[in-house]
Amino acid sequence: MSFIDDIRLASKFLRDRILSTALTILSVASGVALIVWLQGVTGGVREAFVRHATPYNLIVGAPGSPVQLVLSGVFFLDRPVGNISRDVYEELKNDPAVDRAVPIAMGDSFRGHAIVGTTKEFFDPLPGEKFPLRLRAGRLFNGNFEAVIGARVAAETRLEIGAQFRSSHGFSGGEQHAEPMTVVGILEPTGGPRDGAVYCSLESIHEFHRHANEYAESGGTAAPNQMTAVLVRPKDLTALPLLQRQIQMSGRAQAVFPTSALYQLFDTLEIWKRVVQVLCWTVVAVALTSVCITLYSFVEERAADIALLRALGASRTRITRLILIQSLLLSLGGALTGIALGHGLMAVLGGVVQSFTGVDLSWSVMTGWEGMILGALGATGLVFGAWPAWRAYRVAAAEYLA
Amino acid sequence: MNAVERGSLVRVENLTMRYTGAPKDSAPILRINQWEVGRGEQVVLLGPSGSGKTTLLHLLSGIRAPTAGRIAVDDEDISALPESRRDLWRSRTVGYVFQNYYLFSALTTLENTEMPLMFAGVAAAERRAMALQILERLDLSGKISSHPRQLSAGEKQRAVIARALVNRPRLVLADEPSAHLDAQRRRMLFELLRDLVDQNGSTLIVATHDPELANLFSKRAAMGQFR
Repeated sequence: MSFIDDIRLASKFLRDRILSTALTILSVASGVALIVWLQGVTGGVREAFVRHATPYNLIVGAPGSPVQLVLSGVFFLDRPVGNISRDVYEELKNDPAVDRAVPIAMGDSFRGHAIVGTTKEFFDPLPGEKFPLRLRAGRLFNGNFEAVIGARVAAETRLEIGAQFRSSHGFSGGEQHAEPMTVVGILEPTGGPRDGAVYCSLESIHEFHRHANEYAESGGTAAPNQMTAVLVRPKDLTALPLLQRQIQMSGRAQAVFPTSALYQLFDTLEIWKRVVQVLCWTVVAVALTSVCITLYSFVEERAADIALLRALGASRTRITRLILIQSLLLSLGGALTGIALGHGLMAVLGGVVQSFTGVDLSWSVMTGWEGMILGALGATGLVFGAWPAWRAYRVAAAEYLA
Repeated sequence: MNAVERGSLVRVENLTMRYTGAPKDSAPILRINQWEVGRGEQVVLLGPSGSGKTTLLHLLSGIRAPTAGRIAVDDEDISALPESRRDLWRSRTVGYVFQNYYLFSALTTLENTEMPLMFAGVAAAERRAMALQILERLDLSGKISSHPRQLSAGEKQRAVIARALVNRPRLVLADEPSAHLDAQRRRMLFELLRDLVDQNGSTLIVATHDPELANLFSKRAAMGQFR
């Protein structure tokens, strides 16, 4: 019971100095919020990107950066590496080891959303696919210049079935095509990058660029015998390494495992994450020093109160415990506030990331980290409270009680 | 009935008190060969400021330990007790009214009053009942949720008395308890304190430099004799 009494008493002493208590908690919280935010961003983005990578096991594109191929061909975030010959697609399609090969042709955009030329197979769900594409309204494209738009495109552009729009050359608002596109279908949201693209037939893309010779120079798909990439799903996963090696050996294209390329990207960023992490923990350490200073000031300013506690029968051990509990309350209060702030930041950032990438960030990956932060802050809070607690232990009651 | 007939509650023998770190051959602050206070007695310690009244009260409460000698309260040699046991003994045996109000600003009147009971290990419900009872006797029932800054000087002093008496101590020590009050209120407070202590059957030792207040007590000890 005495421990509960001590917690109540310690919290009342802290509440009595509400301003310094609030500022101390806030300083700890700001450091913790940064750590939570950083961990959430890196962990959440990594997890979400891998989760939404693609239901296909291989992406085949022009030789160059594997990461760029994945970012452009799967997430529609980057410019295409280049074009590959239609022959590569035909060979893959007819390969007995391949279950499905879906071509994509890119190079145009509409208000920042990529225009993706593909076949109707792109919309067929694959066995075990977590986020299959489903029509919310309308139908798939049949003729030229018919478009199916992702859920995010529909939400941002407010295009409805039957609406017409003009796409532009390139990815950043180039010259508009003369031929308008007509919306014939709207997809349900998947929470992934495919929500942020406009889909049409390969023929539409090629038709757009019949006369656009300059377009080929920008990396876009200009000729009917060219495409940006092919998404590949093998019949048997064990055939995948051999398939990849064959394509690599051909020299005409590169074959990339999307998740491997993403891990490669995140591993490259890991060193920067570590650097920022060290900076964040330094901020927390500095903030914990403020816990120490706050409590030391309390002991100095309220030595008479401590003496009175002693006079009323509190042992030195109990006084020490009261100060350590205050230290614990400050550091854990800071940790909990910081975790809440960090989550708030992530919620805001989640919206920003989704608006740019279409990837719905899930923050459930943070659970283990939060427990670790609470434990670490609790332990270091006790360490930082030790000095003021020792000072309180040594207060001589008689000196302060006239 | 005198102290011998009632039996001694406080017995001081061969006590010497010097400042911490003072040389052994320096003059002591206090030197008491033998001094006794009987059970239920009310004694006033009379002496000017700096005469050692507060130090003696600290010694009798176990807040300080003597340089040499023996202090027994209710046959318990408190000078021989280790500090941690002396703390517990104090919370259960002694009620202390300080010269300054010394109320915790963070706590309400009720919480301030409960404090000695908390350190004595009394359960929460029981200590609340005991605190409410003494606050009612001191006409502070309407102020139980008030913080010290919301109390008048007289209310603060009554709250301090409530805290000192809440654990029904055998020994009540009061150090210039009415220093901040005018003459009329001072006298009223003294009488209230004496009545309450008398009803509890406690022993009261009051330190004051005011001869007029000292006249209220039949037994007086001049601090000059303890040098």
